Amino acid sequence: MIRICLMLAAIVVPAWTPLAAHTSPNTEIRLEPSSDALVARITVPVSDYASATGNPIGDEPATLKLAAQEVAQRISISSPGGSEWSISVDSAAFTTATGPADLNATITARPAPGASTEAVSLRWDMFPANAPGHIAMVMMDEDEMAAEDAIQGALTSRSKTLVIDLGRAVSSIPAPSETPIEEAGAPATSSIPLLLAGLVIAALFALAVLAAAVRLRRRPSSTIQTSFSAED
Amino acid sequence: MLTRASVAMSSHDLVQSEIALNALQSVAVPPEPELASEIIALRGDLAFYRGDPAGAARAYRAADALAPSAGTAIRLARLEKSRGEFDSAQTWLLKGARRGSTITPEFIAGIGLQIGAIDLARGDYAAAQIRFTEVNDVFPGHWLIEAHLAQSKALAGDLDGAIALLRELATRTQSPDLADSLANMLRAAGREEESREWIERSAAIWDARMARLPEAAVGHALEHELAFGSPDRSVELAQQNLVIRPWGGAHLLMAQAYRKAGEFELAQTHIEKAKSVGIHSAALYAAESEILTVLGQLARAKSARARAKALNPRIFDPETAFIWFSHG
Repeated sequence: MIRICLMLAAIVVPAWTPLAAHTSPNTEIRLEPSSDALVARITVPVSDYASATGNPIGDEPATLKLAAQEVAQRISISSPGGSEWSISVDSAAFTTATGPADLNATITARPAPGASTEAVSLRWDMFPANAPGHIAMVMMDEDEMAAEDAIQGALTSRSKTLVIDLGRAVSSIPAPSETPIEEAGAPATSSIPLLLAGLVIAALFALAVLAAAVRLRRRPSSTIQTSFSAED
Repeated sequence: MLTRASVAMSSHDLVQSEIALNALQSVAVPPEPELASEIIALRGDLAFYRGDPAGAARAYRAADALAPSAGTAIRLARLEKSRGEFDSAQTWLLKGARRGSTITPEFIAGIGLQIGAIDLARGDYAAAQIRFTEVNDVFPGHWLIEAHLAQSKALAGDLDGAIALLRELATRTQSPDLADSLANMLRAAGREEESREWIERSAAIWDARMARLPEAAVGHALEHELAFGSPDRSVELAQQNLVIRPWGGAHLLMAQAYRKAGEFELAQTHIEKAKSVGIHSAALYAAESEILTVLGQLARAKSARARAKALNPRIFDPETAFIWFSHG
């Protein structure tokens, strides 16, 4: 009987129990800025595209044309002052690489003459119906940049606009000859003032603690107790 | 009474399991070491699913020291996996496979499936496929093993082959888990209409199971809802699941339900709770990374993303979305 129970107990630890929901693919918008334009490579899971637009999926020219029109209508890019950039859809196709099928589209956005290109306001409005948790990840499309560093933010159906500092994003990619000193193992010169400030603060704190301790030691212990009792 | 405690535990009824264990321990005759070990191990299960992994670890080690068994080894493996200690978890499973007199093809297959699940958790999908093939050779014809094989086909790039095998399995067994997995793959292939048919079939079965045995069904029904259902219903089921078994995994599911509902701050609160009770998984950190990105906390999101990839370098790869069985 015991053996039967033990066998049962071994089997009750199941091979599969929900520990987490399975991962769901996000929409991705990869930005590649240049001196006079901003290219965005957009990947939308087909099920999300279908849910968001109600459009068909397929390789027919009319279906692809419709997808391109949807992308053009649902993305907008503007300079901080509000000047809208022109958008042209370079390509749109439904593809399957290694994972779920996607709509892959590439657009090129160009600023109006004289408009600032240091930063842009990106608006994206292609979210599945009743899916406030669906995320469109926005990242810089730079080979030299680790994926973690490339992420600029995320958009949802409740927050469809993201301001991106293109100058900072681009300049944050260190050139090989510009590797920060910290990465080479040497202390960063810029961190020395912070270190000194920290030491000064720590010393002041230690003095304050010492002074408080001296004051407490001068008090009769009964006074401390009485004082607590009075306050209680 | 021990059987009653075990059965209650397997149907996620912690209260009934504890009642049975208390009754068992109230008898005057001291139990033999084997029985005492199993009682302690079941107490460890109670601690684990109540969000006390340290208490679970103490109990499992005590039970294993008193009378080492396959059950204690499997439990220690589960604990190690939840901490992201994959090598240790697989070592414990191999120990479990060698122990006791319960070695049958089914038992070995069960252990092998869990070893393969750890390969999935660490992103070694090719190793997992080899393991599932071996398991299928040892104990052929079991739907859960074949489901893992179908999933491996999709991970290896054969989505049509995976869909064909899952369709055959789902039709044969009427398992709602298989129907959900199939619906997930059909949707990924852009076959939305067919996907919807299978979602409706599985939803009806989950509804019936929720009415009959909610404690056992809620986790799976929640997974269905998170993938295909409404945000509000997902939150409702996640709350129910958390009440039944308030462990780290339930907090992660709660976070994912709040994320689905667009409640990202609440989602992050439950991510923190899952972490505070010792959960350390790629799925957890991947979810945290995405939630923090939405919240604009990019430095913390970056750190969470790095942690997720350290545990499973392929966690953000698109094909990982095909994993329905043994994820987490």
